[in-house]
Amino acid sequence: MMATHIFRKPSVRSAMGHSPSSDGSAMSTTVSLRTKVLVVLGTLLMTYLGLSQITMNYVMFPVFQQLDQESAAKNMTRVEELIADDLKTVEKINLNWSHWDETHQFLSGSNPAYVATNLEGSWMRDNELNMMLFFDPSERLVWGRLASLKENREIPMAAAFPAGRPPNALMMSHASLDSSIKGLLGTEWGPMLISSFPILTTNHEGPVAGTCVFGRFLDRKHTAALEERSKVNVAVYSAIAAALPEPYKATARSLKAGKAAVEYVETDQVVRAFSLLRDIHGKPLLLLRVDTPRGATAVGAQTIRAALFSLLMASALVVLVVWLLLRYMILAPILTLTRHVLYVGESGDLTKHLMTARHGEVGTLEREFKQMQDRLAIAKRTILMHSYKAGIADSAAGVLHNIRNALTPLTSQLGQLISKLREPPGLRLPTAVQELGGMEIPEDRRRKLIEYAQLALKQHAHQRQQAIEEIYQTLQHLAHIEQIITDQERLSRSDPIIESTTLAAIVDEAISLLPDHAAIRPWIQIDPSVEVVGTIATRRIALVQVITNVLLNAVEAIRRARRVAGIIQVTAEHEKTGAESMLRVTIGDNGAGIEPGHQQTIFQRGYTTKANGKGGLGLHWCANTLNSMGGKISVESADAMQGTVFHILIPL
Amino acid sequence: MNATAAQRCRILVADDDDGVLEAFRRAFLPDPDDAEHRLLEELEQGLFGTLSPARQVPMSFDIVTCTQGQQALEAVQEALQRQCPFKIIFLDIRMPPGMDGVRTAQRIRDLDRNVTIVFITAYSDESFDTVAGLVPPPTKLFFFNKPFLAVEFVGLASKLCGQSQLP
Repeated sequence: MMATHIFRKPSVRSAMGHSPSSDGSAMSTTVSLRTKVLVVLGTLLMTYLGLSQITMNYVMFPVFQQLDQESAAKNMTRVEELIADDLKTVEKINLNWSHWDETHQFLSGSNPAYVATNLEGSWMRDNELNMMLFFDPSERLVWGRLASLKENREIPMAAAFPAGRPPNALMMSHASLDSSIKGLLGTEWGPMLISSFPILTTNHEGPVAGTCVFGRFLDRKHTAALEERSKVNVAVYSAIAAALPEPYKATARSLKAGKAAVEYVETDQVVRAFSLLRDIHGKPLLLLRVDTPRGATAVGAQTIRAALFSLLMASALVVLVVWLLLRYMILAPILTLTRHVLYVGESGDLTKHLMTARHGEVGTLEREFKQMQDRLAIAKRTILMHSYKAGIADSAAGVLHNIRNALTPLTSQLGQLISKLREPPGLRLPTAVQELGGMEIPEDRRRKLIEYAQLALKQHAHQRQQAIEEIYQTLQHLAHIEQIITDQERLSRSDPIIESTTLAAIVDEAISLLPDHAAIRPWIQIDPSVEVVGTIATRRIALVQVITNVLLNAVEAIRRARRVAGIIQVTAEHEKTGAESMLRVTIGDNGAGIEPGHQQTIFQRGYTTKANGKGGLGLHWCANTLNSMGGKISVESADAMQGTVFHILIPL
Repeated sequence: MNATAAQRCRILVADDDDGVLEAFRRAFLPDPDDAEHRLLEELEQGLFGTLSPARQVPMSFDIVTCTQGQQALEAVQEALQRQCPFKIIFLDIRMPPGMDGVRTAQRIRDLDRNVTIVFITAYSDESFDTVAGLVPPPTKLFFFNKPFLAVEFVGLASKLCGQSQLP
């Protein structure tokens, strides 16, 4: 059905409007829906990112940490191996010197040029040795040299060994020819890599001429060299608890207790591996610290950050896409429909329709709502029409009541008047007059007869006067009744309602009022000209009834002709009659037609083609209604069985 | 009220239309020229010895009128207190703005089981059966449709009041 645009509430926006702020109640619903969707999507995003972060931190990150710890363990092993290598080097040098004929001869006292030939010069420095000691078998120091920890400064033997003997710790005697001692030893000048051999001939033969002890300090210089070779930071601390930096005391305790060979401490930058270096007696001497940069962890942290960032970007994109899809596929259509429903609800304008051709569930909802609106509009009009008719009936009953009330005194009065006039006073007056005309009447009777006649005549006159008065009164009652009728007539002539609508909407509504209209609708061909004539201002309800009547007439004519397929054509055109502009609507059918000579009489009251002779009010009413509107209805029919064309002229 | 009045047939009429009340008053109240009329009849009887057969001794009624149901109810209560109850009550069915006739009749019936109630109505929407169910018993209930002739309700009243109630 086409829309008739009667906007009762212009303040309410169009249902298709896009501004989201003027309709409070609609917005509260949709904002709520939007907010809910946003909250759900946001929560999903946050939960996903949170779970990802937890997975990264507790599953992936430890893998990188493990890698760093393994790397630290490897570095510690390497540094320990380097120290062992150095110790081997010291041992190898010592072996060359101690198992040599010249040294053997020197300690046996038969080679006095030995010191000048072999031990002077930069030899010790060249071989990175800090200590060379030669003892005779009675453990007396025969020759010794000790280079300082710093700047290669010589420590005089007298100062180093004031008693002329080395301390006991350095006294190493060898019981057999192939015995040797090597390892770490704490000295008062610092920790040393020590090697000790018995002094033998070049062919490793005895007798033992003494003991040869070589040493190299494990000092800062040495650790720098270790760092240079191992490419990691190395530090050495005295294993004596009191001398240790505070943070390392617990680590040293743990290592001394033998819980693990290596302990690891992680800082932000490095993994610190600790191990104990024991002296030749097996006692803890030094705490070795090897720092390995946390390369894998740093890479891992960066990888995790990058992964989380890319996840954030990807999921934000997904949420955005989902949000846009929801918005354009569901939220916006629902918002539009909600606004429309609220508009219809508030304005009661059932003719306003949503003109979207949406598919899917929302589209179905829109179409269903439109159909519901249409059905409601028809029901509303039907109710309006019924209430109009009920109002007319009620008004008629009221008028009848008033007339009956007014008739009651009138009929009563007339009834009484009739009975009075039927029994006039002095019924014997003719007899009395006749008797008075005679001669033989006693005087007394004559007097009484005259009195009777006079009284009767007086009563007659009085009754006559009374009757006239009462007739006047009944006339007044009649005037009252006439007034009731006049008032009613004036009421029924109140101005009809003119509505702005389209002819197409009127025809559509008229068809929907036909009994069995679903079966008849396919018969009806509406010419495009009906749409073309556009909006008209007219008495809509009356015109709908007129067209329904004419259509009904056409349907009946088709049925009389016993046609299987009826054709009812509706066309329209503008027409100018002098200064007056009219709309001509023609409704043609292929029914039984009108018999010749009946073209005028069909509009007369009581004309009918129905077999039982009932009806005949429809076309008469149509003609009267159109006349009252200033319009006209006429019919043309070539012959019986040739169909009928009705012309309806509507003033514009 | 004197003894004569108490013996007369008492009638109550309630209708919101003054014209209807006037019709009742005119029908039931004696003609003001009755004395002169009687003199004429006496003369006629004296002169000719007979009275025309149509002449009947007129009934005498005591008529009370009101325009609302509540007034009718009050009149019934007062009459019962004074022990001179109404014999017949004519009630209009629609008497805006107050109680309608059917409701008035129900309340009157609660006070007086014997009174005959006659509904006078210009509408045909109240069926006898419906109203009879509301205001029993049906033997003491009548319907008059407007418009009616005075002779109809005078006849009914005469029949119901009977000869014993004549003065």
